[in-house]
Amino acid sequence: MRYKLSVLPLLALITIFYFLYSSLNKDPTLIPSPLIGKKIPEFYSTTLLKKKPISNEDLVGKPFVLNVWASWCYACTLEHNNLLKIHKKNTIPIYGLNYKDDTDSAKEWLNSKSNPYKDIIVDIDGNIGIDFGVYGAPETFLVNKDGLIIHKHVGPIDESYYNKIILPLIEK
Amino acid sequence: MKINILFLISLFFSSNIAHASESGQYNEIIENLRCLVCQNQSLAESDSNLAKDLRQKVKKMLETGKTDKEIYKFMSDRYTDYVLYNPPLKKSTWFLWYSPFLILFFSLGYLFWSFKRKKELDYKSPASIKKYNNKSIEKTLLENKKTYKAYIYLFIIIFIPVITLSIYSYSSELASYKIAHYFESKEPIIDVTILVHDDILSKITGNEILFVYARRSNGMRVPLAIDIFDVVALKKNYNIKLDNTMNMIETQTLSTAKEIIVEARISRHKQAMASPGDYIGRSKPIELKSSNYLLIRIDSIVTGQ
Repeated sequence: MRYKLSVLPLLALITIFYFLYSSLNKDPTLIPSPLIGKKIPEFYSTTLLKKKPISNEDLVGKPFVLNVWASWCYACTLEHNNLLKIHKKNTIPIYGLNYKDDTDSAKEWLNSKSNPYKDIIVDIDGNIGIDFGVYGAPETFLVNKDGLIIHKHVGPIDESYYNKIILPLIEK
Repeated sequence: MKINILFLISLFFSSNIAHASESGQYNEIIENLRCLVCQNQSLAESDSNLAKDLRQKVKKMLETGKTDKEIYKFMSDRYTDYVLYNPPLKKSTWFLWYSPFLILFFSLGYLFWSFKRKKELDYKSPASIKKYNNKSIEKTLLENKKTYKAYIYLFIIIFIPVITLSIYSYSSELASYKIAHYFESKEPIIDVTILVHDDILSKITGNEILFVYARRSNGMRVPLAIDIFDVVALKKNYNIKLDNTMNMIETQTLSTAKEIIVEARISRHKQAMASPGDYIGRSKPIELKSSNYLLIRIDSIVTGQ
């Protein structure tokens, strides 16, 4: 009995090892979104380029991608090419949320590259961002035709984003 | 009670509590909300932009007559319970709350049981003596003690490094990064010597930042390896190393590229994106071997976009 019991510390050790090891590769800055499976929050704003009013209801109806970006955000320039590629496939609209940005530099930023966005929602004070649980640009949300958020990606999206995340939704 | 203790502790450890509002309620709420981008600071302590925005939001909600509960719910609806320093007791977290008591209970039970056994063996039953008829009781006890000691030593030998390592890894992000990447292959490695041109050197104040990064010579301009240094006034050359683990994006490492260019840029605005007035130097395109050596002269100025 004693010898059997002495296995316990070893088991405990293995468990501790396991948790330590698994936490090594975790990104501690990643926060899961509680919004997955919920409707996109309500908002009322204007678009960046045409300055027409836009609200959450204007987006709903078809699946879409919502990309949170700003001209001050370096990582946003890194994902820009991948956004353009998705835009060129012409299968899903990408909306932009211009997060805490200066309107003029945002326009300049877009002019110097090409524009992958169908419409860009202006969020100067970051309030829409807070409602979306944004804590750093870029962030990318995937929304289905019912307006439910089904995926959230923090950081620049890479080339596999379209095939892995978007395609399964479109093909459904 | 729990809130009070947490509040007291945070009072002790936070040197710079924001006094944006006179209201104690406001202060208490922002003390109990975690800053999302800085991990170990509360909203009250943090200077990050997001924390400022969220503080503003809390203030506004208080002004419109929202209760503490509503504000906490507003935050956790958007940023999960992670944002709360005092997370609620839920089905998924009860083990976390009660496991210490459970462990205490079981170890007390075990301790009690083993004392009882020892007593039995020592004094009470002749049956236990019969059981060990070939050896004396003392000898058996001694042997048992020995094996126990061996286990304790083994436990300590393995446990202490693990504990040290884990404390070390949680002590800073850099440390945990280092541990996580320790076993990764670092090759290809690029040794870079950076020379700053004399004219540029005379203009450097020491407030700049030096970005050194490798990117593909054609195609995507994502940095495959990047490192950042503080610029020192009057320092003419820098010796730095770029390797396979210094990537920004998981799939874009040095080993995935055939031909690369290394750029060194001194940024006056401390910005990751090149802006006019930055000093820059770049290498010729090189094909990567397992170890490489490069010399870069910073001798030109970034103009325009």
